[in-house]
Amino acid sequence: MNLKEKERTLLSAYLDGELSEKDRARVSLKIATSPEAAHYVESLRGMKSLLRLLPQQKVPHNYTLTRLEAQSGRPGWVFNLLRIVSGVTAAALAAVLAFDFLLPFQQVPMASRVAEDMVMETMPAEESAPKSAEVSEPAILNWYPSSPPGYGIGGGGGGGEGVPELPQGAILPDLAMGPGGQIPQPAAGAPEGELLESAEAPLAMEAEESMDAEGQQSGTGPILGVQPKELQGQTVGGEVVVMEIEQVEPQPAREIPYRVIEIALFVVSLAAAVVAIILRRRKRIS
Amino acid sequence: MAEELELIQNAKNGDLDAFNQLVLDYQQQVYNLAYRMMNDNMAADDITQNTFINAYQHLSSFRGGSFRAWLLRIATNQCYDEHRRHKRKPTSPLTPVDPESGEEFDDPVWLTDDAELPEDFVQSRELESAIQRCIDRLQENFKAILILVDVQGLDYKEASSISDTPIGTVRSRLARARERVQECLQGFGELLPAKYRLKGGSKQ
Repeated sequence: MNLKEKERTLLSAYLDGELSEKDRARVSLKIATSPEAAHYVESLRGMKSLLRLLPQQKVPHNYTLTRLEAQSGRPGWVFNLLRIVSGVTAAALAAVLAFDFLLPFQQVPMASRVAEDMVMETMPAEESAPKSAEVSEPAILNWYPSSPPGYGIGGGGGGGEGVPELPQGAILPDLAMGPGGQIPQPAAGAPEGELLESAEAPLAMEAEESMDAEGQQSGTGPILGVQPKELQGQTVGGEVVVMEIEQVEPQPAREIPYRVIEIALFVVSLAAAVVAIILRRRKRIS
Repeated sequence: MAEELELIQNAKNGDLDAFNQLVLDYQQQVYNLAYRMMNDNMAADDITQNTFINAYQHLSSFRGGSFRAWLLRIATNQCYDEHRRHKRKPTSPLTPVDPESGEEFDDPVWLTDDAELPEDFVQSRELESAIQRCIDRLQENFKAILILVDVQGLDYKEASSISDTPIGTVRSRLARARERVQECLQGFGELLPAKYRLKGGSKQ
């Protein structure tokens, strides 16, 4: 067959008189000029006549409804209530889930929150010193030999219980302390002179400059300045910056209600749906 | 028509007698649609009953238009549901089945027919069974359109409303359904009266 599917569809509709005027004229022309199209239409017409001759089946009985039949299978108010409850809880569950999962992306990042919560206070030294001492070990220590163990200027180390008095020449090794505040011990068998010589190298000049006429150390070195005696053992500096960081702890209590709510909504929605389906089926069977 | 609208309105207000009047008006068409779709009296009976029960219970959802189309749409959907149930839980036919082809053996009772006039011949079970077999081979969507238009005599617009498909789709489905039934009926050529014998299929 050379007729295209679209042409066959139009020829079929032509039989039923379901074409527009324009299409009808076009199809009529086609039928008049194409024997194949004419034959196709005739064969369809024969088949259609055949189908229309199929006998109408008589109904075995009347299908009028009784009161009982009209009510049978009709869902009661309990079913409707359960259906509404199931739908509402399902919608609420979807909303809670969306709120739970989408909200964290809209919140301020945790780093920013810490910065906001961080309280930075500037306090006078005399007020802050004792307070800070109560809280934690001070950050500034004086490592001068005669100073009492504890507080002073200088940095690094700590935890030593005083420093034994040493001859003046032995100060230099003191300056060579590492950041941990530990005095490097000479290796076993090494002569004491080597240690002094090695410590001299970079800081010897600073040490010499800081010696006053009485042979005491004074002035401030760039790293470990040595204060005069009257200032030794005291906290110096105009202000001490105390940073109190308020710990922002994770809030597990906030997540638990979400989960509980989600689970509760899911259970209620599912239970209502299941009961509604069971009720419906029972009604239909009865 | 005005009377029908009044009956519908009364039925909506709970008047069961008014609804039963509508049942009497349409039960023949509903039953025949179900019968042609299912090719089974029992199934057609159940579907017709359920169609009217459903229609009564959901009468408030009828928003006007053709009441017949609305009823036949409910019936068509019931037929689709029944087909699906049947596919899920196939039942064994009582008539013997050819194990090779899977088709039922021809019933010798309807192979013999003494009718001479074509009209009588068409009335016979022989031709009816042949046509019904060809209809049964169609897909559900094609079958519904063919029955609605060619058997029930509805127009394309009503068939479109019942099957919930555009008129263009109705037109193309109907054309293809007719071709397939025509091809199928050629296999029964000798059973058909000369007047209705289909010479030369649509696709040769």
